[in-house]
Amino acid sequence: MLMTFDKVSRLIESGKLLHIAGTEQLLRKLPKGSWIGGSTEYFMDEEGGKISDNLLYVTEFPYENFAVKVYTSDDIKNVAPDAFDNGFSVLIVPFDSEVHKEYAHNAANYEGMFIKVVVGWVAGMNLEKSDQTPISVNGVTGEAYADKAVVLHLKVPADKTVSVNIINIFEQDMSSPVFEFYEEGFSVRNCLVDGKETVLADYIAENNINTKLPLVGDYAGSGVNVSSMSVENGVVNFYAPLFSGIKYRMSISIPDYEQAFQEQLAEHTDTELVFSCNCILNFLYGGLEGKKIGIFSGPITFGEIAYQLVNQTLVYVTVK
Amino acid sequence: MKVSLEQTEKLLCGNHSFTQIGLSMMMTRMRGAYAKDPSPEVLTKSMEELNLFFDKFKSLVEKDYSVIAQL
Repeated sequence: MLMTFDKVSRLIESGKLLHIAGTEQLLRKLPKGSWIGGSTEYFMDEEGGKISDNLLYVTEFPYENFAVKVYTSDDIKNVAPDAFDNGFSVLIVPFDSEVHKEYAHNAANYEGMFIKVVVGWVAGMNLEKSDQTPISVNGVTGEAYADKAVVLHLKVPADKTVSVNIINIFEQDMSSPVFEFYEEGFSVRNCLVDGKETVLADYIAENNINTKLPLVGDYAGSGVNVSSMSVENGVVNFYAPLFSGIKYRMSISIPDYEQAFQEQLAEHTDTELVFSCNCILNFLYGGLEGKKIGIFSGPITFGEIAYQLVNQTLVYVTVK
Repeated sequence: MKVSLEQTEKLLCGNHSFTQIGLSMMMTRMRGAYAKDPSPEVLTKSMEELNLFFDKFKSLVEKDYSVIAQL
């Protein structure tokens, strides 16, 4: 829940194990303790979406066995091997850092990924302010990083099972052509559109494509979104990499984000979640400030991690 | 919930769909790897990983396993 700086400080000093999201300035001032943090000024709490530079979103974990580790782009590949066999790991990665890019490209191939549970988010900043840097924070040491990931590895009781889930309001529009990418990465010039070599930026312009809608990749029945960031000089830039071997289509249109989330959340009224985050693009494009989306409160983030990096997705974890 | 080598090969060469996001992502990765290198080693490793996954998450994946059981 959202709390004042003083209340969060007292919680830290009482020895609680915490995950904290908030503005860079406040995160840097918090006392040391058993916590990790990441920067954002956007939140979804029980009262609805909020933008704040004086509140922090706190998730308390009730687990005794944990470890906090810091990873660079060179050793983030160890995140799953370092995780507890029965538990989950919460990873916070600063936006546009080398470790962000490394994770986005390669996480699916890390040893132990999918057998170990890795969730998390990409830390960002207030888009209206120019003086902020996305950071992750190791609360144990008090160190903040613009270039490293901080991970809280958690062990859960042996009789519990951890589940990572996503709520993706976007689906493949089956009337869309299939997009395939032989150039993998965050930026794309050429692709295949229904098998035909095409400059993607030209296709977007000629077909008046709504770039607020993501491309949705078909991952063995699950839709995984890739959101576009910009089109510059014939190159389309995305918030996640596009991969070869995946068939992407444009998403269906979503006239009302709040309603779309509410429809999916209707089946989750008795879900007990231990962690949740949702995408800044859903917050902004969906006008979620002041609107509620049920029990799924948490930081609003600049990329979400459900094992791999995903976009425009709500990610949540249950422990049952 | 055991997955045999024969079932694994059918999964890696097929387009079966799953609901659990971790399984979907893992299957996608495995299919890509097997398409690049359809060797017995890759197939065996995939089977072992699938069995690890289903053993660990058996309470979550009954519906998805039913797709495999029919192969």
